[in-house]
Amino acid sequence: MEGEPSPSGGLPAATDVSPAALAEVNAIAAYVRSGRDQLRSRARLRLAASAIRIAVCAFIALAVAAALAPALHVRMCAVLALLAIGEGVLLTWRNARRARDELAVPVALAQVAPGLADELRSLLELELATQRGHLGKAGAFLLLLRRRVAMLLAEVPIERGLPLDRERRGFFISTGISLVGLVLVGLLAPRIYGDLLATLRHGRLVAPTSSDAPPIVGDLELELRPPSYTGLPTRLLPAGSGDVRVLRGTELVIRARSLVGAVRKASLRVDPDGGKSFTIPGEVTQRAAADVTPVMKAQLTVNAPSTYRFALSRWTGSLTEPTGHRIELEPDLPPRVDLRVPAEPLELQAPRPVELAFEVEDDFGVGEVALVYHIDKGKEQRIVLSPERATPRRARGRYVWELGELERTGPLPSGAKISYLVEAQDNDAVQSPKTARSRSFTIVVRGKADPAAIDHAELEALVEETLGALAGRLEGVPPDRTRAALALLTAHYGRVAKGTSEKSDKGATAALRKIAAEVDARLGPLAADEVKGVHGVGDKIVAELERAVLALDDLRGRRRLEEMARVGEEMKRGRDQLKRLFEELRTATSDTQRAELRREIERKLTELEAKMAELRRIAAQGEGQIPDEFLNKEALGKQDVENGVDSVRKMLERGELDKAMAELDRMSKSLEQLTGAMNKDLRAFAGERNPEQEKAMAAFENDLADLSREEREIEQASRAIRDRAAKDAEAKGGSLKALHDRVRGKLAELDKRAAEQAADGRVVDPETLDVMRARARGIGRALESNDLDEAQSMASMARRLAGGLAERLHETEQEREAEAQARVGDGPSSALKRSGRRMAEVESIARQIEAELSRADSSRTPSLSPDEKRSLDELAKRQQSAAQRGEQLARRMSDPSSSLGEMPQGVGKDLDGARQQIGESGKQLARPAPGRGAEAAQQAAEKLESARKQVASRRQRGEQDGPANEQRDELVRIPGADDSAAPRAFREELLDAMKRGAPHRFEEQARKFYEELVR
Amino acid sequence: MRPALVVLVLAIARVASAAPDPAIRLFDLLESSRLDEARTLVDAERRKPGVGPFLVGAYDLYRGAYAEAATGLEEGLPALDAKYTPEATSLRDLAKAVEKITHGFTTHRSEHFEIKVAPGKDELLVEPALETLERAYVALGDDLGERPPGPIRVEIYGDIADLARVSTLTISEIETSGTIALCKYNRLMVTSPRALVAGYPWLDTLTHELTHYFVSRTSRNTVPIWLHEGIAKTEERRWREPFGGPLPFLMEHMLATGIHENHLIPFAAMHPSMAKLPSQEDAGLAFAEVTTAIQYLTEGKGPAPLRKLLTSLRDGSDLNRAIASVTGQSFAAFERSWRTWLKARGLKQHPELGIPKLRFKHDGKEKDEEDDPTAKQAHSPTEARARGHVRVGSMLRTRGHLGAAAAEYQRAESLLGTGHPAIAGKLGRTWLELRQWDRAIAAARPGIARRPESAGLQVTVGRALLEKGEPGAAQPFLEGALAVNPYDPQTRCGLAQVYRAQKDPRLARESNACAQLGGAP
Repeated sequence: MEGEPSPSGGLPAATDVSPAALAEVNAIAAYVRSGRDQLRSRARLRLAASAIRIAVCAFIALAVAAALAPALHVRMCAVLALLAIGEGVLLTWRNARRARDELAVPVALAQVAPGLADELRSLLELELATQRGHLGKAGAFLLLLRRRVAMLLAEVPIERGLPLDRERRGFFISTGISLVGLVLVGLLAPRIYGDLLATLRHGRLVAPTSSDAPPIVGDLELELRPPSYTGLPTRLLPAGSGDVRVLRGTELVIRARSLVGAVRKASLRVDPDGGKSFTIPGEVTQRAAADVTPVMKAQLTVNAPSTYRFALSRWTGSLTEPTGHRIELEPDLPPRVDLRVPAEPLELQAPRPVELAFEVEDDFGVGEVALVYHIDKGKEQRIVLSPERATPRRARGRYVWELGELERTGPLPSGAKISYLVEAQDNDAVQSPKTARSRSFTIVVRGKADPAAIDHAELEALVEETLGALAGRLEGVPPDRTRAALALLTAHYGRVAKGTSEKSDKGATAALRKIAAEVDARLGPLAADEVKGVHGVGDKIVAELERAVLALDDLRGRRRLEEMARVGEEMKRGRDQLKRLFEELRTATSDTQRAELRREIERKLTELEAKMAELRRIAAQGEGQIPDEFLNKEALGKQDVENGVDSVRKMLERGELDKAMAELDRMSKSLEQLTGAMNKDLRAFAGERNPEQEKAMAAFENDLADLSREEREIEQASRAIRDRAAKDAEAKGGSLKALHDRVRGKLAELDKRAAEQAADGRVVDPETLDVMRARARGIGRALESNDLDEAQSMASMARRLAGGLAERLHETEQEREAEAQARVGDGPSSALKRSGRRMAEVESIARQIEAELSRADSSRTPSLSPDEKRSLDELAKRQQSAAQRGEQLARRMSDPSSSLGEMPQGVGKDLDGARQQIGESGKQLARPAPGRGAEAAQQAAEKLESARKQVASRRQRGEQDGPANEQRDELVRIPGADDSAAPRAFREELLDAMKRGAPHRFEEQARKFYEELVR
Repeated sequence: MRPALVVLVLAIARVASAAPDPAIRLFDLLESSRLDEARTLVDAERRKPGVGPFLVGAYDLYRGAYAEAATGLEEGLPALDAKYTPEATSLRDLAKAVEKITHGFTTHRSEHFEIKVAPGKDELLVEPALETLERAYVALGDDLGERPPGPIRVEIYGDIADLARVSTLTISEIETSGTIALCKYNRLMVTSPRALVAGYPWLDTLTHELTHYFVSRTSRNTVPIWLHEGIAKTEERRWREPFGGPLPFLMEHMLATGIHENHLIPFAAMHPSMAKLPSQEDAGLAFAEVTTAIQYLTEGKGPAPLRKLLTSLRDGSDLNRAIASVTGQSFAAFERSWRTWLKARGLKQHPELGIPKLRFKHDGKEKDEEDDPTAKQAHSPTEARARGHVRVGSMLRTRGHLGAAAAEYQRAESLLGTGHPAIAGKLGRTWLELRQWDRAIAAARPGIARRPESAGLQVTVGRALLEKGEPGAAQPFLEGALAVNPYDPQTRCGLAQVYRAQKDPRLARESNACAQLGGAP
């Protein structure tokens, strides 16, 4: 019977479709299917065994890798995982391939039932060939073979033909070996799995955070190398917690001792706050042959607050510190800027030099200091200042701001508002320099009202009308017309006097209003009398008109001279600016700068020419108004400014800078003569036309000069007595030399202790200590020069500084003790205690020296001879007399009936100040304290001289409308600035500053600094 | 001789050690304007090596050959000792400066004079100058006893800067002392009146310098400065008036003030030059003193004592002996007796005159107007009041109110008196403008006596007289004005009118000047 191979199981369908044959076919197909299932099970078991083996091996390999090469662990994990997956895939693929093989079952059966395997294989091959048509009529044979195979199948069940025992055994053996291996590795390297798990969990090697975990390093020692710009020395923080507070940019060298024995490698794991972690390789050194515990060292530059840990590599694995150490950043604060100005707001009539005083402090160093200003809403401008730098951390200075410079490109508009401040940078070279600004101040340039311009229209109108009225009367014009003209004229004077005239929108100055009022008051009644027909009134009216014309003409002349004097002063300012520009040109370093300066010089030269032309124009206009006597045409005529300017220009073009400057000097002298001559003219004119006032002012100026001279004499006499007394004392043996000898030993002792303290750099503020030592050395110098006052000051200062240092050390010591009691610290170190004791001794020595000097001073005062005392009494009496003279001067100033007129405000102020100092001097001389009396007399003399100069200036420039007669070149000073600059006062100021200690905003920093020092 | 020149001469004499005398003698002759004698000496020296070229150069400078002088002095410089180089160099520079300044000058000659002047307006000075100089030549020859051979060279410079460059004076000294002319280097050097705001008595000055020339030559340069200046001051008016005129008001005022303040300048202090005195006031006082010293010396005797004195000095007498030969007194006694005589003269102060200063044009004042005496310090309330009237009058006048102005000036005049210098000119001119001829003459004429150097007053009177039809009477006033300010067209045109009326040959000259100055005769 021929059967076709069965569609199922891949068997050929039997041609014989009898039930028996069909059953055979099915049985064979089922057998083959079962065989295949069995083969699959085998493959799965082998795959599982392999997977376990691979996993265990990979796990161990990873753990080992993590311990030996932490940096490679992630990549290692990846590689192992890939290998495992690769093997799994390979096995699976191989099994799947086998499962698909038609002949896989007979091949597998060959080991257990070779006969069956052969017959089955033959059958399957025949059926395949039949299906492909290769066999033709082989159906009968196939049926027979199928039957035979079916029979053989019954004898060999599939479970026996393809058993799973071997695979099961292999699986269990493999798993067992793997587990044993795992256990063995775990026993041999206990941390290895923990590290691996942590690695796998965190992606890196992190030790489990546990405060209970034992430390792996100890004796952490930090070496701080602050950035060079701070000027701070390298500091060592020994045996601490490893926490530290440093400035950004500080180089930190960390040393630690291993607490886990030998270390193969060490590294520092740094975790910046909010930043990416990084590792710094460290150095491992063995301290000594006998000492097995190595020391690790790592170095980093701090740029952010961070946590750091040591990680140690050992042969047995890696260890990382369980707890990190903190690095905090110490802030470098911006500077503090103080600016002192004459007034706020400062109102000026014209740009004048203004004195500014500034002081900048920074915690580490002051960088550039600049004056920053802007005019109205203009662009901000900067002028770099050059302060005195007593220390790198402090800069101070005065700056005379030539506001006239702001008019380089043209005059400032009236009401111009100049906002200004001082800006300072610190010297932070790590980050960019930090900038701080002082408070902003304001100067308002009001613009000086030009009296000539105000009066011009009204003055001219009154002159012409008055002359017209006068001419009419002298030339015999009919009475009705002269009366009408007079009525109009009187009314005009009245309106000007009241300020209601419509002739000029600018009004009239006080001077013109005063003249108008006086004329109106005299002429009005005369005009009324004339209407009434009073006899002889006509001549009086003529006389009054003549008088009025002369008064108006005087004012007109005066205005011209004032205007000329003003232009002359402006030319002088222009000249000064030119000089400065030439100096700048001489030192200019770049072509651009030179070109800019040349342009500026050319502008100034043109300006100078224009001013000279203006001067000549005013002089020409003044012809006929100012008598030649008062219009110094000689000086004006000799001015060859234009030629001079031409010469300067040519020399500049030829590059002959020195010659150009010499020519400028020549012009300068010429200008000085011119302005001097014009001021003289003005004064002469004033004297001629207003003799009473001029006389009164001249007398006032002379009296001020006399009184100033008197104060100078008293000052010199007092000083002479003081010096003589000192010499006498020296000659009598009670000299300061002996005193110096007495304190010499103490001074040496003090210096020695202070030097020891300085050598112990970790426990004291070196800067303050240096100042203290300098003051102590100053005691000796002062005594050598016989200046007990100075020596006392120095001693007092040294004592206070030493006391301050001792006190701070003592406070720190107490804090440490409190920490120890609270079990948060180890208590004050012995070094700290030693330092505190030493500083206290220094203070004690300084105190002894101070006391010794004080005793010497109290015993020295009575060394004035009777003659000297008498002389001082005389001087005190002279001061009483001077005080009376000062009072008289003040009364004259305030007396409205005096002819002095309105005085500049500064005169009264200076006079009051002088009177006060005269009184003080008198008191001191009476004590007797000749030195202090002399100082007060000196100040009185200076103030009187200042007042005198103002009066002289007032005489030269004449009366001008406005509260004060400002001079464009007169410096606007800071009130009281001079007083504070006096040497003694300055010393005291310094002393007080020292006593006050660090500025408030630096207190915290100072405290921390000391803490670090003693940590 | 200025000190530097003395040093130079000594230096040259030392260098020319073989023959020191010729060098010294040469400079003596040059300084005393005896070039005829110097020429012989120079010809002898010309051929000698060493200082020869330098001496020839110096001679050329004195004879007016400036280009040759500059070259000769330049060539002669190396032969001089180095330490004398500065003085020699300055002489060479002087020659160069003169050559440069006078280059292009025109030359005008008369019988005894040769005038060099810049072409243009200054040529208007030539004819009056030559006329005056020839007159003075005759008068001085009579008075001093010698007439130098001509031509005597005269140079007129446009401004004082040029005068400073060609002389030994600085601009400052010229301005301070008011020196505007010099007689040196064998020539007269004069500044043009054009350089001064209101001119100056330039014809008197020319005569003054000519007198120096005569005195230097006659005395062989042995006369001390005070005597030199005294004779010159006395003789400076000789071109227009006889010897021994009255003392001018201004000199009287200065002397009276000097005596009152006990401040007289000693004769010795006038050495080496009046120009070196500290101020114009001191210079004026010194001139007044020496003028009266000559008056004292010649009182009642005419110029004969001067001739005797000069001869005596020329012949080698010292000053003591020379003075004694004339007065019978030593010099000291003469000075004392002169002071006594002076004080006994009862000289009067005239404060209203003030001290007129020469005002140079570069002082800034270009307009031709006189000093404003109203600006001077008032000496009394009356004067102060008068000054007020003058100021008001001037303001009215500039506005065309001439009648009112005249009224104000008259008020001032009534306070200070007629002829007051502060008023006379202003009032006279105002009347002139109002065509009130007689009133103009009456106002201005009294002022001329007090301020003869005021061209304004002279012109006012001259113009008024001309307008009245009295050209003969006007002539002296207008010629007086010409002698001060020859650039005023009113003066030159007025004179043209006068000369036309009188058929004077000088008509052409003045008509030409009038036209050149833009006037209308």
